Amino acid sequence: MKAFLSLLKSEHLEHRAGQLWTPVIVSAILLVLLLGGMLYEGSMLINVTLEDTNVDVRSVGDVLEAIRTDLGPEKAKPVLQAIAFSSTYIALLPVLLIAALASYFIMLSSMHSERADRSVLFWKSMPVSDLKVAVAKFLSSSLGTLLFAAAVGIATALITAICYAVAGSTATATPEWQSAIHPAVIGSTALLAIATCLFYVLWAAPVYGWILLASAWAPRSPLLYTAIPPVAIGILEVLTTRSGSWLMREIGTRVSGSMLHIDLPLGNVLYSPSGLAGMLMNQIATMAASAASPRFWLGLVFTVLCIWGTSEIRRRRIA
Amino acid sequence: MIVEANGLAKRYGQIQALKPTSFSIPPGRIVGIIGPNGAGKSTLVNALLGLINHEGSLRVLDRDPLKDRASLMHEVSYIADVATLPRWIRVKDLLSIVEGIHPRFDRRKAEDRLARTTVRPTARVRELSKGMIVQLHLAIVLSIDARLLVLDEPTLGLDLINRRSFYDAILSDFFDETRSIIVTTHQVEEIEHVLTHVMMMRQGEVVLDASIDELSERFAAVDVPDSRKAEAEALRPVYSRRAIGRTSYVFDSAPQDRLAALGEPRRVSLADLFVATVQPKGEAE
Repeated sequence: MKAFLSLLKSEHLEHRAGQLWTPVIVSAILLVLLLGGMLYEGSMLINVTLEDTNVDVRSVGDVLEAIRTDLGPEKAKPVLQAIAFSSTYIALLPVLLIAALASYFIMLSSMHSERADRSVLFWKSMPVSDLKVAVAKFLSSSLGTLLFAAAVGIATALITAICYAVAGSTATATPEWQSAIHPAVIGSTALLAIATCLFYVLWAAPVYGWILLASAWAPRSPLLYTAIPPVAIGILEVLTTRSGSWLMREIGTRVSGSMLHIDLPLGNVLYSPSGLAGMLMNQIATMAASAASPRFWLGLVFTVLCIWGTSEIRRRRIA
Repeated sequence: MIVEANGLAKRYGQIQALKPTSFSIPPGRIVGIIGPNGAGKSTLVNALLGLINHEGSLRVLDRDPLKDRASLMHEVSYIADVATLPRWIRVKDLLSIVEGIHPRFDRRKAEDRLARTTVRPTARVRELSKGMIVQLHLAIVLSIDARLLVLDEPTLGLDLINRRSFYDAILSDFFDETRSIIVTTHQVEEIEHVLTHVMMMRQGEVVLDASIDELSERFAAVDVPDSRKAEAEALRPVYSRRAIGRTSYVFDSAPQDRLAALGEPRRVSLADLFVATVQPKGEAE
């Protein structure tokens, strides 16, 4: 286990720019944009529906105005929480999307780069099996990259939520910011982010696995060696069946994450802390239910074969 | 036994990189594998390390290197013929990762050794000079409690001072009667004094496998004046080299009295033996 963790650490150090700095930079840009939205009217538009009140929020100024005139302190609290929650989404989703894109490129270089710089000879002088190395590279490039992004995204979301809450509680002279970052909301959002990463990787695993295999096998330009076989099969499919390509659809479905059935109300939040947490838990349950599909398990079998193939190629190849 | 090979061979397509060869290496030896480029030295070493598949039977520390490479590397250290340390990593991170991966790595020992060099722990490998990279690699390798150390052209591209200190460190900090070292090199003169055994290779074939003592007994060199050249040629020298007014001959198992009659027999340098063994006859003349 210690050796495996060291392998994961090594992978992270090698791909630190993609795994850590990419989400940090994206988050920093988002943070600037979101905080800018707090200052300039019209830069945000969120429709908040309470049981008996509907508020169009265009800026933090709108929120404060609504708190003062329409809602009063009690009803202002959940509005603020709803905005904080929405900002959590806004902070998380782009970070995760860009991290998913980065993860494919990290996977693409994972096996190839150690042969390109000949460091494979050093790593092979260590008492660790090729299979263990292949699994570490697979997990670090896919799940590791996404989890780092999720952690950065959640931290960004927290900062944003605190900013909104502080702004709101300052305006109403009550310490509402503590409830604005309600643990149930933040906790379930973090859980949802982690679950999304996990199920995304599980569904996209065959694509990741294929890229890992191609990276181990490609004598040069792993991108070409990754793309050419499926594209060639896709074209062959189209020519023979005179309809679309099953393989291309399958790749597209898995890479886009559509199998996760993510359906979160970004623009229209029906809010209560427990209700939100429940909705998020339902979303996690929906993702977990997708694992009942035979497609899910067939994909994992293909992934295992790819990882095994990668380790066998690495066992026999040093250049 | 550290290494046992029977009919070990390797073919890349039509090219026979290593012809069937059999040998064994017990503990307490420093074996030099010597040969020109393309002789099959690296192929042989790669097979020993489980880096390539092969034909024939091969056991290293009683393991099949290809199947049990991970287990074998608990007791084998090696430095390959090119700079192989990952260039993106920092020195301290490298030590930390090796410590996590290798149960027989003594990090403190490596740090002590590095403290005596100019290698900074916070530096990335790509920022180090070639000599510093070798020092770092050596610090790691010598801090692993291994039974076999394999060095494949380890001092290639290093200056004289670094080459000397490299072999001095290996002799003083690694070698004892329970361990063995296999080293391949072109720079025959530099390792001559450290070797106990020599394997000379030519075109994928081991053409000479003997101890340094056996070589001293078998081979002798004599400087023969041109006037006695015919007598020397009659003893079928394995190598000759012309100089002004005389020719240096190398003889294999020639009678000592007949050699003494030609001139003063002397010990053959490994460099002369290397040329005599791996070079097709007549080329040196």
